[in-house]
Amino acid sequence: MDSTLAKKRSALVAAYLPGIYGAIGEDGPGIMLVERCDLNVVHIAGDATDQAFAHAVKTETGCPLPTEANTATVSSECTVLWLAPDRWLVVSARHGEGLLKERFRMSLASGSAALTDVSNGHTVIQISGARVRELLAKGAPIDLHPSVFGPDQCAGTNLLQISVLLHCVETNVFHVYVARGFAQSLWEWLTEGAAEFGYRVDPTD
Amino acid sequence: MLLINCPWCGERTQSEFAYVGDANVVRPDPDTVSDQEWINYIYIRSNPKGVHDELWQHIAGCRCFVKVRRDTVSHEIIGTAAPAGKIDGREA
Repeated sequence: MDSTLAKKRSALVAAYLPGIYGAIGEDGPGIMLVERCDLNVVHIAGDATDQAFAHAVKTETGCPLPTEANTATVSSECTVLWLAPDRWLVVSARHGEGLLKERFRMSLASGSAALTDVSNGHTVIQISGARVRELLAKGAPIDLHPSVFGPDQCAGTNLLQISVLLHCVETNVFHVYVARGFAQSLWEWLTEGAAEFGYRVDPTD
Repeated sequence: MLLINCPWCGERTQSEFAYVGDANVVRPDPDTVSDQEWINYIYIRSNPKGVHDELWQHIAGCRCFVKVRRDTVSHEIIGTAAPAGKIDGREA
C-alpha cells in the first residue's frame, strides 16, 4: 500500500530457491512450500473478560476474540490466533509497517492492553499439499490427525525442537510461525523431510 | 516420556515442558525472614519417594505454569491443575 516502505527481507534468503524437488509422484508434488513475507503479525495482550477489549478486537479485525485455547478466528482481513490465556497474535495482509498496531493503539487507548508488532521477529512458512500432515508429524509431538487438529485450530508446540506456532488454515494447509533466527534451520529440515513426497517451492511475494 | 495434561492446551508430551521444581515452596516475607529461613527457601528441598506436587512450565506451548502431582517412583501423573488450583486424588 505504501510504496515508500522497505520490503521485508526474507528470513530464508540464503536457502530459498523456488522450483520442484525430490521424488515427484504421478500426482505431482505432495508438498508445496512458500514463505509468507506478506503478513503483518501483531502480538496483543489483554483481559479476555474485558468487554471493551474484546469489542475493540472485533471492531479492528472483524474477528471475535478466540477465548477457547488453541483456536483461531478468521475474517476477510485478519486472523486472530490464541497463544495463551490473555495472549493472541493478530495476523493480517501487510498494510504497511505498524499500521494495524497504530489502529489498535487508538481503539484501545482507554483500556489496558499491550500491543507489539512482531512481524520482523517471526517468519511464516506456509506448507500445503496432500502429505502435509505426514511431513509435520516427523517433528511435532502433537496429534495431527484431521479429526483432532482441523481448520481454525492452532497450537504452540515444537518442530525439530524449535518452538513454533502451528495454525491449520485449511485441512491440508498449515502456517508455521517461527522465530526468524531459527527459520533457516527449520526450512532446511522441512525441505529434507519433504523430499520423499516431492515438493515445490513457490516464489515469495 | 510423560504425557502432561496442560489445563489450557490439553495433553502434551513432556518435551514441550520445562521442569520448575517443588510446588509447595512458599516465599517468606523478605522483611522479617531469618538467614536460615531464606537459605531453606532458596536451596533446601525435600526429595520425596512417592507422591510429590511439582511445577512444570509449558514452555513450547502457552508458557503457563502447571501444577503436577506425580509419583516419583512410578512416574504416574495423578493430576494437574493451574498453579493456584487444587488437584483431586492421592495426596502426598
